[in-house]
Amino acid sequence: MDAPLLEISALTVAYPIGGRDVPVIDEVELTVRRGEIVGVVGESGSGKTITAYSIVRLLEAPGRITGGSIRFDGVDLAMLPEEAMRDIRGRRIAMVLQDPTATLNPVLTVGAQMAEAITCHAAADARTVRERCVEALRRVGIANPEERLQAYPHELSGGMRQRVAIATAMLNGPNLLIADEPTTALDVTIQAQILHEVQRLLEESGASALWISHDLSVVSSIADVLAVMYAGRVVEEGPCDQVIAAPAHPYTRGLLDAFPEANAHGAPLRQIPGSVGSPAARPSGCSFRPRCRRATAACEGVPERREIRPGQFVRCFHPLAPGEVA
Amino acid sequence: MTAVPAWSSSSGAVKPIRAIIAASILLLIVLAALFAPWIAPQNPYDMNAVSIMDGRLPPGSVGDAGFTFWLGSDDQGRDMLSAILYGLRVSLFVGFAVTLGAAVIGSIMGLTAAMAGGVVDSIIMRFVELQLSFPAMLIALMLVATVGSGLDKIILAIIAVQWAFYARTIRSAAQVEVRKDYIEAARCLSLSRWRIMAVHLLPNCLSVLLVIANILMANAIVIEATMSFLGLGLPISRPSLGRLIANGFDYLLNGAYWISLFPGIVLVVVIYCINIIGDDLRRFLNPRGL
Amino acid sequence: MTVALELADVSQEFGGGNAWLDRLLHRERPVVKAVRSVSLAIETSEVFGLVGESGCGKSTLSRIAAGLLSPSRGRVLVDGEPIRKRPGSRAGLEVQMIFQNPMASLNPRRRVRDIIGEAPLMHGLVRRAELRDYVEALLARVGLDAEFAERFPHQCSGGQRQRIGIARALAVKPKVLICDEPVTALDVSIQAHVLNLFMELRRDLGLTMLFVSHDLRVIRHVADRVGIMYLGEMVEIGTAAAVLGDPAHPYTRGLLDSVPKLGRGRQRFHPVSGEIPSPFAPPPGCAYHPRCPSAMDICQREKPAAGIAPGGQRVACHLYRTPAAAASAVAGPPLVSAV
Repeated sequence: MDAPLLEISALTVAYPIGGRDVPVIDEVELTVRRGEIVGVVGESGSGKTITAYSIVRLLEAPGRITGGSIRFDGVDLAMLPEEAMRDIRGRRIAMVLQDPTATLNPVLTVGAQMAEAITCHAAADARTVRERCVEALRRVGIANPEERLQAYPHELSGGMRQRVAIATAMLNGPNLLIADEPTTALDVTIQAQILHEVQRLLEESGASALWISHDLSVVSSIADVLAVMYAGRVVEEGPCDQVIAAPAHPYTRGLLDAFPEANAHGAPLRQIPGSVGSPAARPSGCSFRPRCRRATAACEGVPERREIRPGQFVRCFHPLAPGEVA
Repeated sequence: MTAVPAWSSSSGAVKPIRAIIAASILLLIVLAALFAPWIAPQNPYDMNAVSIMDGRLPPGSVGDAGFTFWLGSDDQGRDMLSAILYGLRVSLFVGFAVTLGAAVIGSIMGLTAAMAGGVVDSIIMRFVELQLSFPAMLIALMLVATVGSGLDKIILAIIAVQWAFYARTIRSAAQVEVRKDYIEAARCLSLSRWRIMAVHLLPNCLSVLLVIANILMANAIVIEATMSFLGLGLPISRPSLGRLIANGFDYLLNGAYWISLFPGIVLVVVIYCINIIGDDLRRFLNPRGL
Repeated sequence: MTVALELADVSQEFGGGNAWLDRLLHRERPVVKAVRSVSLAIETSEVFGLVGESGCGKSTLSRIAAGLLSPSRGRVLVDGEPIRKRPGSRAGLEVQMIFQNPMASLNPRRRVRDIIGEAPLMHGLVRRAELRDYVEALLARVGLDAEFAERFPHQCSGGQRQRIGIARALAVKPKVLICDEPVTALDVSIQAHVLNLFMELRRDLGLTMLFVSHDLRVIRHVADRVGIMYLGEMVEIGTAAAVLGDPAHPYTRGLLDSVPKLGRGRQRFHPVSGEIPSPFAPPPGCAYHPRCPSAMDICQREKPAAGIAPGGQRVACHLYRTPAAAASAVAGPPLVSAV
């Protein structure tokens, strides 16, 4: 069996809040196999963005990794010195973020930025660089790529900018693409275009992807494996179709039920009571306890990660059986 | 590109030790100026207390009547320490009065321009730009030359110069706020324009206002000192620190340096403290900003 | 049933300025037709869903409907009377707006009780002595504890802030609520709370709502009737069942196809091609023709007039050009008019 491309084990990241180290993500386990798309779903405060930034070691002080390992192709990224990390970032692991306005430098042309992404990892002559950039833009479905190279980011629409960001990310043929809410700010028809292009790109290049979003429907439409995060922990993980058809964690069930299409027209939407608190004020034990209808005294302990069905892992003392309502 | 969660404590907020020290010094100075008539060893503008025989005595010397001139005396025999204390009163009063006046006028103009937009905004901004295109000193000098000197005229002249800075800055801050939904909500609820300006816009521009008021107060004191130094400011019977410096200027390099030097040091200390406070205030109010 | 809110042939242009001054100075000032001849009527207690993507003009239209913007052409009528808001006056208070961004929609320097209580007090709807109880009752109505009255906005979560915004609007006893993407900025689990609140309010208070959103799933759940906008024009308008269940206009169909569907596994997207054109340079003829899979020759020459689709909805598309059917349409909301 192939060794997984990315294996996160027991990753814990803490921030000092009010004088003590508060774990913002706690014992996160995540695995990405080669050629696989893993979708990470979570709402605000779930820690999904912090997890992504931790992988590429872009966490800003005073946050820091306080435990666990991030094995990428056998190497623990958490332990790697910064120069080695710089080599991996942008070449073997690439990131696409939510706001393309922030990703792209407004004072450089598109061509200049893309060229920089190539040349900072390997020397290449100007002509080869240009050809690779044009080809990359073409592959994300941008018409007239030669012209686009001369454009500045503000001259492009939001969807176009995101395509440029994706093209730049894929330039050096990364093994892993980490995308943090890349389509959240885009219109629905443009989002569909981007998802279509990314699906095709990933299939062609055989790269893996970690797709992060708060929108379960977007993630479920492209991911092979689904991981659900809540309050800093991965509460459920498994093959996407399986998790959606038969969720084991009450939070996953709640998320699915809250979708308008899962409810009868005009009927009140089934809602998860309460709200997730700030990391400093998390309840002990299972963090979903205050909002869970199934909570018992047992839930005061931290639930271990268990394989409840083949390939499906959950952190819950009272997991749902297939078809069971929360 | 790094991730800083919204709830993490603001990184980089400096403990404002400098500002606390500066504020303490400034407070002492202000109190000294306030209570000058009571704590000054001598009233330097009382003709009876001053004897020209005590003129130009070096610091620490004792005069004819047994009076100790801690910081020396000027050419007329006035005690420098007392003169500085009285001079501070005038300088600080000018600073506060100008700041208050210019801030009020400038804020009203800036808020009106931001809220009204269109033609009103254009008109106000043309005045502001006109004002700002002339050097402040020049306008102040011209105004004083025209209307004559005197404490109230000086204050009005500097207000006339400084209001434009406030107007421009407040307008920029207000323009950002005016686009926000809570202002639209206030308009949707048909609140009166004055109410929106005073209750909704102004408090949200306050931090900007405080920062520039701080800088401009120091600036006002310097303008007045310069004008006095050039002889266009207040009369010698009620001098500010600038006038005192002017008085002793001739003696600066030969002989009685203390007549200019000590008022100069005090002026520098006051300006420096005000600026330090402003600097840390700005950083405190905007930890991740500029 | 009475018509609570009506927009009659509303158009909005930006950037026109003083034409004679421009001629004098020989300068070109680009004009954006943000909204082009939109007509719609919402009946009392009805929820009308307005759907569109960037540049479609739905935000501008919502502000026109709320009385915040005066349209370049056309009228806005509430209960048959033209709406005219004036600062300091009670006129036009019947229409209130709920805003999209919970971070920016509340004054960060004021307490919640002042935010909610200010307008009714200023307009004399409630006496100062009764204000505290009034505010508490409103907070309870939106599902918040009385202790929220003392809080500042930054001490409240996004969902709580939206509720406070709703309470603020309800405080002046409106008849019509214009909701501009009210749940877009919220997490899915919080969206459910707030949407349920809207439905409760409509049921309990009989409020009429214009619900603007780009999220078709939300619209599908709450709206009775739906209008689809593209580049400033209303391209399809009818009952939710018709427009979303049996869409007529190719844009509506493309929109519905683009929405990721939950629980149907990996989706093969067949997206609409092309970019949304800039409102500064709308394509000639039918604005959608460059992206339309069913585009015909006539589509780039002529703007489509209103037609009736099989589901009963009005649609502006050459595929449904049946002037006879349009002319014989009897009662009901005004036609989608052609520019």
